[in-house]
Amino acid sequence: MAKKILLVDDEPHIITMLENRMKHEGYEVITASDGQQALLRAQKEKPDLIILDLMLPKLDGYKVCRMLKFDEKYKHIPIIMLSARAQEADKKMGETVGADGYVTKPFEPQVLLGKIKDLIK
Amino acid sequence: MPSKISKDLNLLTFIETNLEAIVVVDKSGLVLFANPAASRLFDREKKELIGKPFGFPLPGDRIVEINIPGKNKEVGIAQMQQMPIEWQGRRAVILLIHDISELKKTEMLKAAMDERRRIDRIKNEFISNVSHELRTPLTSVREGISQILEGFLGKTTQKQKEFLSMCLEDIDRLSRIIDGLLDISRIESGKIILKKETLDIVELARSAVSSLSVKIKNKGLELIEDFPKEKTEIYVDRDRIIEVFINLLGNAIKFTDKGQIGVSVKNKAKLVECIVSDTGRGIAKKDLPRVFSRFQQFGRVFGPGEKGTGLGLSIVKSIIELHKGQIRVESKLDKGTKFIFTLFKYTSRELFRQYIVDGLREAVHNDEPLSIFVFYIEDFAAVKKEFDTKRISLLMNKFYEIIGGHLRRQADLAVKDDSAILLVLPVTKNEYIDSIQTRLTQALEEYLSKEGLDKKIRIGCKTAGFPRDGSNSDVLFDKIKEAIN
Repeated sequence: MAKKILLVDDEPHIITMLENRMKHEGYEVITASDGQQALLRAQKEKPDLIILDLMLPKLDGYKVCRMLKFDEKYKHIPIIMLSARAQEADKKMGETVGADGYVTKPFEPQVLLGKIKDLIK
Repeated sequence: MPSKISKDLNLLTFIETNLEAIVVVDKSGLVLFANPAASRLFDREKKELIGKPFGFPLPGDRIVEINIPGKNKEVGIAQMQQMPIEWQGRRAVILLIHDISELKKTEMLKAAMDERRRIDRIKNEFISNVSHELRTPLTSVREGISQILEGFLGKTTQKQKEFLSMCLEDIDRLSRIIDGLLDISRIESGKIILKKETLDIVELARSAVSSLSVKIKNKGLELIEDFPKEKTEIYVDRDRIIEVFINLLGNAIKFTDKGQIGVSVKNKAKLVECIVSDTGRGIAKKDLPRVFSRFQQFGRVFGPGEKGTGLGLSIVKSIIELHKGQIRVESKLDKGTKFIFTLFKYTSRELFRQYIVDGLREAVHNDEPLSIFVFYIEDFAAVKKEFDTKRISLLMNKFYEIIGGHLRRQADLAVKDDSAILLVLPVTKNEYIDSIQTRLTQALEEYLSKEGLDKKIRIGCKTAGFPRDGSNSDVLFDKIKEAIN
């Protein structure tokens, strides 16, 4: 069965393109465009991995990540932060809230895919 | 009652030799007396003043500020106050005039600096936001082109692929420019805290060379290294200094088609001099002053290869200056270029001080305590007479090992010189200072007695703590400086 990835970004173009790439790689893809929706979809559909943007409407990526990672039921879902914020402090923050990976935008497809493969076993 | 100053010789001498300008003016506003300080302030000889109208309205019972147009110097500012006196039997007014030109100048300078800082901050925040906003659209452009190139969206011709690859290269270059701008804005806004350690500069140079050696070989260039044999220790941020070497070497390789790339380190008395040189294209004399400015690229070549961002040397300069070092360039067109940077070598006293300053800044920033110890050999002069340098150095190494064994946290630090070891423990609460001191002194003394040296060598210890002894690094340093030679 195909592994399911939840893609969260408020930029429709990025969603469209990433969705295409992930499907091409053989993943099943579900999407969300704000933090609240992301949380609901994650809880309801239990994806195998989440790719999470940081600057999101309603609930930012850090909060989404923390709420999932602090919940026994969902904390096993790997989360990759995908953000245009590239400073050390941002990455550190990602670690603090329990993210499993941090990839900066613009990203090298191979780097992102590599991280996904490592985490989704 | 007005005082009769003119009859009191002592008072007259006091007025005559006073560093403040003092002038006596009669009722009609004519100057009766001016001391040498007044001559200097008004930039006029005594005889040019006396008997002439004073020229300023009297302040009455207020203190007023007056502008003094000098004959040869710029306008000065002074504060003036008056008192009534009797001068040679006449009623007069004595004026005390206090020069505040320097003070005003400093104030103005400070205001200008504050304003500059404010503008810098706004500018840097702006750059930081813009960088973030630019990255997002760049992401979908890059990803879209990537997918077309990879063939996800149907077949592409060879020519299309070529053009798309060029787009991708330039997107990556734009992305590097954005990174560079962010880097500069962070360096300039002081947001970068250097992670300084005592390191061998040669090792840093080698590490940079090794990451570029393939490029040097591929271009058929010869690498010439000239490093000192002895360890050349220096207190710097490892990653940042490697970045400097990589940047300079990268440039040297890029602009050199044949000949040599040179890297050298010279260990001088008070500083370390590093040189990265090449036999390349060189920089025209008229361009030299702008080498370190942003977005200045000279001798750009038409053709393949990674394009520069025009930010590298500006970042290099900032990093060296953050380390309080200096960098300069020498170049001759078609002969080659030489970048020379110098980094200051700290004496152990300066180094210890620097460790305390850096440790304290971190502690204040994180709102955590800081505990500082210096263990030292007491009466070192006498010990030096009795034992040879090698023996003492071995002993110090052993001490360092014993103390190092007690470091608990990753951030804990120990540094040594020939007679003292500084131990900086961030996070460690000040209440524990005494017990740690006792425990470590005991450990060192046990070793001494095991070696039969306990009669000849005694161990001293000085401590300081933040917040126990204050939050000023000078105060903390004062508490332990006796322990350092």
